[in-house]
Amino acid sequence: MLFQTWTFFIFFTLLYLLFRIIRGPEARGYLVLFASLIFYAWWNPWYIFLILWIITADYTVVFLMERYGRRRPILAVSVINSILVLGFFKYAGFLADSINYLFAAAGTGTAVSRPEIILPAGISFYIFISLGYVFDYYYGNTEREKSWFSYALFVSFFPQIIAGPICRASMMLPQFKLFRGPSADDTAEGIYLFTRGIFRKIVLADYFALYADRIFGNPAQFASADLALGALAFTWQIYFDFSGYTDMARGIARMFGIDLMENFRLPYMACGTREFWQRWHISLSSWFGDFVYKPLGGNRSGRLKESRNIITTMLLSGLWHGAAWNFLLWGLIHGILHSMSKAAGRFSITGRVPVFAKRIFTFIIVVFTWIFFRSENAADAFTFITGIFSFSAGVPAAPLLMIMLMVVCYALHWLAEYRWLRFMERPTARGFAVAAMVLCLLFVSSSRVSGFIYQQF
Amino acid sequence: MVTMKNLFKITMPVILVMILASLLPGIFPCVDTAQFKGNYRIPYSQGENYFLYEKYINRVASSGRIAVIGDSVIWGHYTGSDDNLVATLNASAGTDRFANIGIDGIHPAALYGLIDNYCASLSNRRVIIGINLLWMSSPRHDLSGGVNTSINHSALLSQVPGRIPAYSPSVEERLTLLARRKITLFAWIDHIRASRFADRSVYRWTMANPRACPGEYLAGQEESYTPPDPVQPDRMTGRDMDWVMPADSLQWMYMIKSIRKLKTRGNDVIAVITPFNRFMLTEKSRLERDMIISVIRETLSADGIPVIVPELDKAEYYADLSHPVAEGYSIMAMQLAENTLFAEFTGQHK
Repeated sequence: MLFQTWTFFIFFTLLYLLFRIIRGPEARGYLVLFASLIFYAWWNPWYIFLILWIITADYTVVFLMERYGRRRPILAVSVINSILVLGFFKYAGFLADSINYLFAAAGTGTAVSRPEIILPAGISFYIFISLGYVFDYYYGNTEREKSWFSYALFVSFFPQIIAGPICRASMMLPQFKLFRGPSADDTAEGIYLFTRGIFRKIVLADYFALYADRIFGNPAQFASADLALGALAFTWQIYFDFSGYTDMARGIARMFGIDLMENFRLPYMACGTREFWQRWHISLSSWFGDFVYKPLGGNRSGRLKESRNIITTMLLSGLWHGAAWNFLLWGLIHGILHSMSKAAGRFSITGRVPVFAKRIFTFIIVVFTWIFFRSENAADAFTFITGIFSFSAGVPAAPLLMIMLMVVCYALHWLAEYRWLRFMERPTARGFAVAAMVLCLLFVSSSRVSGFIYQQF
Repeated sequence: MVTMKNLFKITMPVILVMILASLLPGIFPCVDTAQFKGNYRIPYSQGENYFLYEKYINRVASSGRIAVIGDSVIWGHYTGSDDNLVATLNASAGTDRFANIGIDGIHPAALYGLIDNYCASLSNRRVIIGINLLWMSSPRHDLSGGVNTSINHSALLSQVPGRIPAYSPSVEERLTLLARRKITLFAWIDHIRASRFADRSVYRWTMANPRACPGEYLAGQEESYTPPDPVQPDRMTGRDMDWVMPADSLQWMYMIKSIRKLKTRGNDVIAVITPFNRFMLTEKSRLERDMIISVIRETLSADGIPVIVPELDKAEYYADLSHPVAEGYSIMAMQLAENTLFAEFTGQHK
């Protein structure tokens, strides 16, 4: 059940009406938990047992930690459980492919069969939400949630279950305890965020996807300009696709009086790759920062170990995104760039580079890293980049409207960064923006519904 | 109080825009109606543009012409708009007495949806309905066989699960089709897209025409229909049909429902069983075809519906299994004109 479907519209309307009728946080909690499980079961009813298993296992682990102390072996049970579940559902095929590749390279003539498993929607998100709670408890950042139902609601809350944001227990559980219901401001903000999200997804991301899919489908066929524009199209597609989902999730949650964390802060205005990760998928970056980078030693044990920690964290982040070598490579590149930018930051010369130049340079770097992310495999990614630098002639097949839209999006990023768009925070301006977006949606949207990129992670 | 004001400020423009948008379908239908004259038929590319169809039906109803409804045989798949059955009937009558309201590719289950949803304004008018045996020629055509993912005019089918065994879309598809059917604004947007923009969004159009000026997109496209080549008579060989008998046929059930729906709306109805190419049937299939025709005749006669069964006696009058060529339509029109039931029907004035 995607947010931009009629099925969801009916689901949401019924739930919202019941939510407004029912009084009291506990009853509302039960209702939303029940609805969340239905929402998740819509994809595949059998996977409801998977999420219930994750919830119950981590709930029990924290219960045991409270009883027997915050011990590492108990924490390990949760980590191993999460790795096993993710490994089976997400990485088994990748592992089998890699083993077969090695067998073929060694000429053994044997092969392991590739398991055909349907990836449960949002598995990486809810496992990280639940595991984050266990880590938070282990490090003493949060209290144990006594009620299984409240904890289940926190993990399975339907707006965030498919593609985040990966919110922390300390932020969410107190809100569920109160479940005060939405104020008029919450409703206004919710409507604005939801409309902005659906606009970003359908009007912007799906348009850029038309071109990006064509170019990435067969990069060898296109000239340099097309390849460069294809990379740019994907850069905007993934941003609007993911931030659109987040906006919709935040808008829906807000209409139930729940505040989800912000996940994007104009990422293409970052002055370096480190800052990029402070602006892009913030909930995941902070998760990896708190539970991988810092426990590995962070920046406390010398420059070499710091670089190792950065690269390890980014590699794992790449692997989290997908079970394929191109995601690992994408993570590795970000890790190396991140380490290099840290090293370069120690030289005073970098301080003299104007901020606008840093922003543009970082944007270009990020565009190139997305090529690895989007390509079918590493070989395709290299073909793509080689193609761009071959400077082959040819009139690009990119529509003028799309190029203009890219320019407008980038210009709006700059204006927003320098707070020139603050007038948009006024309710009347937002009202007109919502009306304009609704109008665009009516005329641009098609009856074909496309999924979100991040929901497959 | 301040917060309520903020909510009001956000929702008001949206409500205003929605009200304005919902008025659009009522303001702009006149653009299409100018062309609904003579031997007009719904263009091939607009076959699924039911908003346009409804406008056309309204015009036919107000003009008092006799509506001829049916599938591609009535529409005239192998002919131009001036060579099909309705055009030939008009030519022999010397006036535009008949209106071709057939739709290419429509089958009885969809025809029922068409009549039920879009033909209300035809109440109390005279209607000639074409019955094509093709839709009973196999369980697949009859939609009573296995699931079929490419059913024509699925938007017109009943969206209640289980009613049509071969039709099994997702809940989301059913809801989308219902919304497009029931919400006039969406139907109008689909109509604008289909009739002005070749059924493509501006986005897809820019991808297909990257170097074209966006102004060209707004200009729309001229409709042109080139009928396909007919099957040559020497290639017409006898084949065995896997007929579904009327008692078991889903399509026949919907045809009966369609006719009864028209009757309950006060329509005078006459049924024409369009010729089914006997030169492409084995002896056994031909006998079964004749049996089906007699059952249809009996059933409809019991309901007080006159039935006419024109017959084409040469293979060259056919384009394929069920479609006549232009000459075939002339023969059919002649047979109809000579038929007493037809003469009585067309001579009636309500």
